[in-house]
Amino acid sequence: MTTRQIDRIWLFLVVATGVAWWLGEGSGGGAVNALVLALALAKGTAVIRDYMGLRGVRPPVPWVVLGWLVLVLAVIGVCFLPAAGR
Amino acid sequence: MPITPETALAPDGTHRPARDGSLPGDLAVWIFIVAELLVFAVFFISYAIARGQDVVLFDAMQRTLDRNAGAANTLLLVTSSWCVARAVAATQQNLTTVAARWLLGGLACGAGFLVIKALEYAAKFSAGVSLSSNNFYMFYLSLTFFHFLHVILGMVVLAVLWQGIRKRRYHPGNLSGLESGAAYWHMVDLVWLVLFPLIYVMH
Repeated sequence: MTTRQIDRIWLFLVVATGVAWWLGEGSGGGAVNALVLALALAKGTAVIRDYMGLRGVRPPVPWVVLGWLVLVLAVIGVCFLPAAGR
Repeated sequence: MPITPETALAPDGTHRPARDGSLPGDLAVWIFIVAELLVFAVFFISYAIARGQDVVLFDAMQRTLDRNAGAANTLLLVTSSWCVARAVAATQQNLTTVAARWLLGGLACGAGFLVIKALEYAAKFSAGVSLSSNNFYMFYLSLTFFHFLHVILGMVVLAVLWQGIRKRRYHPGNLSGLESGAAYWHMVDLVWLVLFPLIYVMH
C-alpha cells in the first residue's frame, strides 16, 4: 500500500460520507436506503482491505471480517424493507 | 539499522509487499477484533429488528438527532484512520518522526470525535432524554456509548503506539505491535461506518 493509495482511499471515504449525509437529508425510502448501504459496504471494504491491511492476506481472517460486514449490512437491509416487521 | 530482507523497502517505497500473505499484527488481536465485531453485530441487528416493530417512532426520533454532528464524527474517524494508516506506512519506511506526527493527528481526530459526541449527549440529557425515554433512545444511547468507550480505549492504544514510535520500538523489522494497534483503531472506525448510516441516515 503506497501513501498515494492511502490518500486516495481517504478521499473516497470523505466523499462517500458526504453523499450518505446528503441522502439522509432527503425523504429516505427503499432505494435511498439501498444506496446508503451500498456506500457503507464500499467504505467498510476499503477500510478492511486497505487500512486494516487484509488485502492479499491468506484466509480465514479476511473472509471473516468482510463476511461480518456483508452479513450485518444484508440483515439491516432486509429489516429496512418496506414490509419488514409490519 | 542494517538492511536485511525484512527491513528492505519494496520498489513503491513500502515494506508490506514482502509480507507474503501473512496477517498484519498478532493473531490474538484479530481474534479480539472479531469478537468485538460480533458484539456490535448483535447490537446493530437488534436495532434494525426493533425499528421494524415501530418504524414511526424510530423515524420520528431519528429526526431529533443531529445528523451534521454524526457526519462530522464520521469524517473525523475516517480521517483518524487515514492518519494511522499513514503512520504505519511511515514506520515501514523507517520515518519515525513522520510516523509519530501522523499518530498524533489520529489522536487529535479521535479527541475531536469524543468532544462532538459529548456535546451531543449533553444536548440530549439537558432535553430530558434518558435510556428509558423510548426504545429508540435506549438503543441510541447504549449503542453509541458502547462505541464511545471503544474510541477511548482505541485512543489509549494509539497513545501507547505513539510512545513506542518515539522510543523507536517500531521499525521496518518490528511492525507487529504497531499493526495490531492500528487494526484495532480501524475496527473502531469500521463499526462507526455501519452505525452512522443505521442510526443517523436510513429512514
